Amino acid sequence: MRTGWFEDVKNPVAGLAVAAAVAVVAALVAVFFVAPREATLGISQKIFYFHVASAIHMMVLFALCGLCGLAYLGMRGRPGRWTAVVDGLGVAAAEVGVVLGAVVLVTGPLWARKAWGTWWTWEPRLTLSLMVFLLFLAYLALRAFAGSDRFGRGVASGLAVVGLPALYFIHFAVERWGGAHPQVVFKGGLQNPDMQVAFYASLLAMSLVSATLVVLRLRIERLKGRLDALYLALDRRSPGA
Amino acid sequence: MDSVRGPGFRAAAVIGCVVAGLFLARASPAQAPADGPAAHAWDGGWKAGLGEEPARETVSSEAMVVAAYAALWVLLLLYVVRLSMELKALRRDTEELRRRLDEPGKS
Repeated sequence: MRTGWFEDVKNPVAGLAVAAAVAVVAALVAVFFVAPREATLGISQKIFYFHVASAIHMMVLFALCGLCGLAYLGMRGRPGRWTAVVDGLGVAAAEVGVVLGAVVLVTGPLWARKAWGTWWTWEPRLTLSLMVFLLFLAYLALRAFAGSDRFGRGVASGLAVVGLPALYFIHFAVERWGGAHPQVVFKGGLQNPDMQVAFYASLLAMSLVSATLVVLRLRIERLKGRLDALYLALDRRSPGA
Repeated sequence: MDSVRGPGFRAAAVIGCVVAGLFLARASPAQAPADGPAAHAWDGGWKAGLGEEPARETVSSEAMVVAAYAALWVLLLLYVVRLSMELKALRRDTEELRRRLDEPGKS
């Protein structure tokens, strides 16, 4: 007998969730007890670790959604196992990406107020991030209204593909156009070894959290497909069908 | 099939135009000179609002950190709760439909 959602999601998701919880606790310990307090920004710099990790995963998930959209268009929406997998993965990635995007857009201004003295500024990376967040929000709205309609799903996939070049420009915005954002982390922007440990621990934790949420969301998408098939079967059995 | 192909290919054409436009804009020397550090490459006005007036510190750094981490975990928790509720409802509907399908002679 099933007693709860967690029991039913079975080993892969449960294992991922446990690993994510352990990694999150380890990352929080690293952020607050291992990494030193930054000289200029003080304790407010602690926001950086999960803010950047969330932003990186937001971009990875939106890129995954765009690639799934591309694959869906390549398959031309033909009904089939792989089309369903690609379509489901696209929606799952976009939804988790939007949640992480909300995290980035909430934690960013809180840090910016202390670091830059303003909640928001229309610098290239911030503006592009907001635009991409809104674009994938529109993708999810379109996808929700489309339901199982192939045309709607095709249009939503096209919209997700439009986000791909924008992601490229978010990544290279600091290098190409400058901006208030500091030097890219992977190019010498974070030099203290303890801060690096905290940052990579946060990155790992957010990777596991994102993977857990995407797998869980994929499971929901699969269940929706199964439910549609059951409704069809029931419809065929009904008198006069 | 055409209904899917149409908007998809139109979207691809739009993306191509956008990417080409952005690359052409990037190549323009008026916006991004090749020499000098990137931070000083282009001052297109994004600095508006930065450094114009000193920040009025009304909230402590500790409060900002607490607010940021609280927002992070509350958002993620709310999403997990939403997923679990959706999963529960879907499972209930699936079981109900299976039960109805298994009943002989009933629709």
